[in-house]
Order: sequence, then structure tokens, then C-alpha cells
Amino acid sequence: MQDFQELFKEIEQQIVSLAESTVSNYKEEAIQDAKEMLANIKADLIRWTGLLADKQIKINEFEWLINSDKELVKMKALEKAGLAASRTSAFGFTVMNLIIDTAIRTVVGNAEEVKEVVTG
Amino acid sequence: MIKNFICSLCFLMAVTFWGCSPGLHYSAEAYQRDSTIEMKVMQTLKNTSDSYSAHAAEIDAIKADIDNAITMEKARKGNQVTVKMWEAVQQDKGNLYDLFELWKTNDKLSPSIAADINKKIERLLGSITELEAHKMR
Repeated sequence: MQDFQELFKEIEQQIVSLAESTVSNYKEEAIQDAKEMLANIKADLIRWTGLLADKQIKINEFEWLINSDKELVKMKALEKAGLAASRTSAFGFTVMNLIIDTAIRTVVGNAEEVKEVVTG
Repeated sequence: MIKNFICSLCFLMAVTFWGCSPGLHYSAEAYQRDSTIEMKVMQTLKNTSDSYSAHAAEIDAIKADIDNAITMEKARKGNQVTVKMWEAVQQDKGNLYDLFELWKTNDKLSPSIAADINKKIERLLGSITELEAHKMR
């Protein structure tokens, strides 16, 4: 477990260095996001690192597992973006219905009123 | 006269609105196709501890299905997000095609991570079917 603590400490240090060199304007937010991401995969990472150390998995398998976590974040972000676009479209359609209903009710309503006045 | 004009205008607006972005609307056909692909993939991934060559034909068939899915999705306007998701499945490190390459390179994948692989691919492909399922109806 001591080894894992050192491993996570080193990863956190590298996250800070990476944030300082790449996203200096949003450094604190980036570090926070990265630490949350690390916390989310911590249990899996401990297990996979143990399997790698015991030679039960290969380095390329370990890499795929880590990369797949990154992919999950990306695919979930795309899913959210797609849902947002669809909901915006749904809102637009509701607005369209509202315009159609109101326009027809107003015009037809007025026409009926005019008809009533003319026909007495 | 005014009534007819307003009705025609409204009809035209509605048709234009619906017609301009079918990719934002739910498609039962797309959902069924994506679910079938996911099911085939999960079935194939039960065998990652077998030699890749024993399942190469199944994998090629899955890739052909995905090519077809992308072609169909590209034809739906306003559907860039779904297309990007399928392209990630094909191109990105840590996604499905990368897993197939890994399987091919290693010939067999470690049984120790079979459950992890299944869970991750199910979630990756599941995000595509989830998006389709929740599009506007």
C-alpha cells in the first residue's frame, strides 16, 4: 500500500506540473478536475497496477484500461452535448407549436368576431 | 384568405423545422441497429481469452456493421455528435477498435481483465444507444 501512496503522490505532482505548463490560466480548476478523475479510478488503478506488477496483464493491456477511462469521459461528454442539442431542438419545436396555436387562435378568433358583427 | 395564408405559413414552418434536423430526433431504426451492434460486440468480447484468429471473421462483420451505421448517421442532418461518437469508437485509443487491435497484437487477452473490458465497452457503446433513446420524439 505504501507503494501505491507513492505512486499516487507522484501522479499528483505530475498533474500539477502538467497544469502549470499547459493550462496556467485555469490551473486550479484543472488540478481539481484531474484529482477528481484520479480519485474516481483509484480503486481500479490499484488493482490493475497490482496485476501489472504480478505480470498477470501486459503493459499494452494496462494502457488500454487507462485510455478507456479517458474515452468514457469523452463519450459521456459527447452524449451530454447530443442531449443538450436535442432538448434545444425540442424547446424550439414547442415554441413553434406555441406560435402556430396562438396565430391560428388569434386570426380565427378575430375572423369569427368579425363574422358575428357582420351577420349580426 | 388571411386564415388560409396563416395556416399555410405555419404548416411550412413546421415542415421546415422538422425536416432540417432529423439527427436530433429519435429513430427507432437507428436505436435497433445500434443495440444489435452492441449485443454482437458484447457476445464477441466474451471470448477475449481465445485466440484472435478464431473470432477475426466476427470482428470483421462487426466493423462492417459499424461502417454502415456511420454512413447512415452521416445522412441524418444535425447529427454530428452521434457521428463523432462512432468515429471515436473507430479511431480513439482506449475504444473498441483499439481493443480489437490489442487483441490481435497479443493474440489472447488476459482473463484477469475480461470483466473490466466488458464493463468499459458496454458503457462506451451504451452512451451511443442512450443518446439515441433520449433524442426528441
